[in-house]
Amino acid sequence: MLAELFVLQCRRVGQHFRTHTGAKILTTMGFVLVALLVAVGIYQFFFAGFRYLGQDNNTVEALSLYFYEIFLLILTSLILFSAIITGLYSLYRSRQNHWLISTPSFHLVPKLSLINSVTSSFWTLAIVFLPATLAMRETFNLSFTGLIAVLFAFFCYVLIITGLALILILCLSKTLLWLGQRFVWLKINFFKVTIATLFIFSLFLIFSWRQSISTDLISLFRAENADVTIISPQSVSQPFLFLPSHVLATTIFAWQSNQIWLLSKLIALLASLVAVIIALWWHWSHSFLNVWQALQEIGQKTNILNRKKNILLNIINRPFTAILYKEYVAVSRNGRSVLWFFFLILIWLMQAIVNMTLARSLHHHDISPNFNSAVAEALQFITASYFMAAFVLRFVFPAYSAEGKTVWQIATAPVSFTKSFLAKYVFFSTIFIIIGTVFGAVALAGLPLAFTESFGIALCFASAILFITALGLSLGAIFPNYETDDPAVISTTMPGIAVIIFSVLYGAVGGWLIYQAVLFGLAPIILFCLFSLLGVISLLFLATYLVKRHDSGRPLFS
Amino acid sequence: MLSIQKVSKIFDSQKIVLNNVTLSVNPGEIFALIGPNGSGKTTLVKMIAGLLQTSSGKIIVDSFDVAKQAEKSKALVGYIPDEPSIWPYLTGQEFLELTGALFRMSAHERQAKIPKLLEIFKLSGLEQQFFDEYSRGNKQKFSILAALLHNPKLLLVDEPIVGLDPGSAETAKQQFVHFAKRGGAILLVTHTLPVAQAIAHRIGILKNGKLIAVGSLSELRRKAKLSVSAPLEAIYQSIVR
Repeated sequence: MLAELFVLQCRRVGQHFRTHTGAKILTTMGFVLVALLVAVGIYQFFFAGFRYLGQDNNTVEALSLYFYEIFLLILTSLILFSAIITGLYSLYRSRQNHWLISTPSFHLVPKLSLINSVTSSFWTLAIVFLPATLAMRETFNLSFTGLIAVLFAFFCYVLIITGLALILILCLSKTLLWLGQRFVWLKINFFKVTIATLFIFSLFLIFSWRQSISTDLISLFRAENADVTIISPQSVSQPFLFLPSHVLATTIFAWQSNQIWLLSKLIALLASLVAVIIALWWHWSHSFLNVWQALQEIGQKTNILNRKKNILLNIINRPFTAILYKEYVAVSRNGRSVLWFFFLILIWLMQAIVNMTLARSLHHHDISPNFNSAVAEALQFITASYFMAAFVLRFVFPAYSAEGKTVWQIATAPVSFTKSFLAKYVFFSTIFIIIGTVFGAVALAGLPLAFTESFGIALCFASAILFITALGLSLGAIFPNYETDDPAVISTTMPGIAVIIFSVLYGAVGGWLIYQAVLFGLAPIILFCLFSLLGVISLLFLATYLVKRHDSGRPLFS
Repeated sequence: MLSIQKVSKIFDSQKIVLNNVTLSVNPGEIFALIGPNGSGKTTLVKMIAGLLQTSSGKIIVDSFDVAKQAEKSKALVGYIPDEPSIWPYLTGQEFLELTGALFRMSAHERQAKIPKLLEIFKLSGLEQQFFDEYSRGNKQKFSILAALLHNPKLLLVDEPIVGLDPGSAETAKQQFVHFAKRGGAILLVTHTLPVAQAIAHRIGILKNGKLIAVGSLSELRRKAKLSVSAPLEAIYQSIVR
């Protein structure tokens, strides 16, 4: 049956390309190109990093191992969180499961969910892990067989982490089902399962965070002293011993240090764990049905909301505020969107934590960093632009397409398109300004900046947020896609790629101008902000002008 | 109240969906539009509601041109779509409140009117549930109430009773009749011919984008050369064949 479903899936891909074939092939090629560019960028980054690490024979092994532990811990958190979101929704909320559940093959749902979650986590292999290991092989001149072994180990690792996430979800669901049968107030629902799963994930994050910051890098590597002794890899990996990423980090380290026997043992261990996870999951998939059925019962969300009167509704008197309220509801009550929102925040948070940890470590030992602050500021800006582009692509770009069949509600009301468009823009840009300000402040906190510099860079952050949001919203409105209401699918279109490419280019130009400004004065920053605001006005005008003239059977605003 | 003048609609420069359609609906009148699937009924309603543009011709709602004075004409129209697709994360109460706000009703006006409307279909007590928790019939009831909320002058009704239980279908019909008696105009698109026969003052038959017959039930019977007791079903079959 799994084979038949696989064939069905392949046919669906074929069907996807049957209409607008040329455009869809171009879009796919565009995506491959973007992925390749990112992979090349990551390769260059790791290549330079490994070459730097390799300069000192005394510290190369320990530093590399420390890097693998941290890098894999971050990757593990991302894979785990991604698997939790995909798992929760593919297990209990996918409408496509209904017909399968009604057949005697209902136990295929959790199996397909595992396959789905594993495949959706493979972007980390193709875009991050493969370029990193290729860079490692090039720098340390390592064997090709070892590379294949390490890639296989990573594949096993993704399967283990994804499987663990699903097992965690099922175990918690079953526990809640059991408790709910005894205590009415604990009656199982999707919200409680999500909260319980996220609670366990948070405990994992807190434990990982505590373990990773317990390492004092300066003391460990004795950076204050010129007299450096060889540091044992064991002392570096000590805080990471109880974290799941440690096995994979040690596997990579075994490849680097040419310990074939250790490498083989670790791969055998990972493969055995995969077998155990799959066996467990296959066995439990038959007992999944009663949990699924309990979670389909409706009337639960009302209890969560449980309010007689919404105060906000009392202050809504005009179409503009009505649309603001609708956007707030659409974002805040869509569980999947909220989880992805926090996923992106988590990635950004991790980047900020790494920054803060390094700054804290340097500050603690009173070491004045002799680094180029212009480069650091430019990099912070580019990073922020990239994160903002990710937020915009996931939440703002699909804002019109996701309206789908519900578009008539605003389109038949006496509200001009300009007004509804501006309401959406105000809503999203306000949220992003708040997020951007918080993360921008965290990112710049560790840098030695004068007030004027800080002010100038803050203006750049604000301009970038306004510009990228306008870009995403405008392109999303000009090129709506009513074939689906899934934001993840809507984002993977040619205009979606354009949003990412333009945002990355814009971030790069902004970063370069900030670099120039720190070295030669604030004029480039002012110019950048002015051009950004001009860009915002042009984009908003262009979108409202073009959308009014749309019509080929698509919904149309006045 | 509604005047459709030589309206045509061509999709993608080749597919003619509506061809030179002219009709009018007067205040206090219920005009039923019937026809085979794909004859252009829903397209016509969407053009009046401002969801689609006309390829040629003019649509006037109470002296306002739908294309040129969209905001003014939309303010007079209540639209009940063929499918009650509503933002899934809203409660019934929120949906009605937001619809009222989109039509510039104050919070005070909305709060005075919504409880009365909820009583029509006995929905009081269900208004705090989310839309994805409602049955199809209840979703349809809420979309009917939303269309009536701002006291429109023209009601565009596309398949109004699909999914409604017999009691609610009867209530919906009564509401449409009351609305017309108070001076409102209704353009009713339906495949449920007994409903059209029961409440419509005039009936139009659309086929392949052309309005092939318009008139009262007795006028259509004469046109179809059928007896005075012939039901709309028989008239339709005779004219469309």
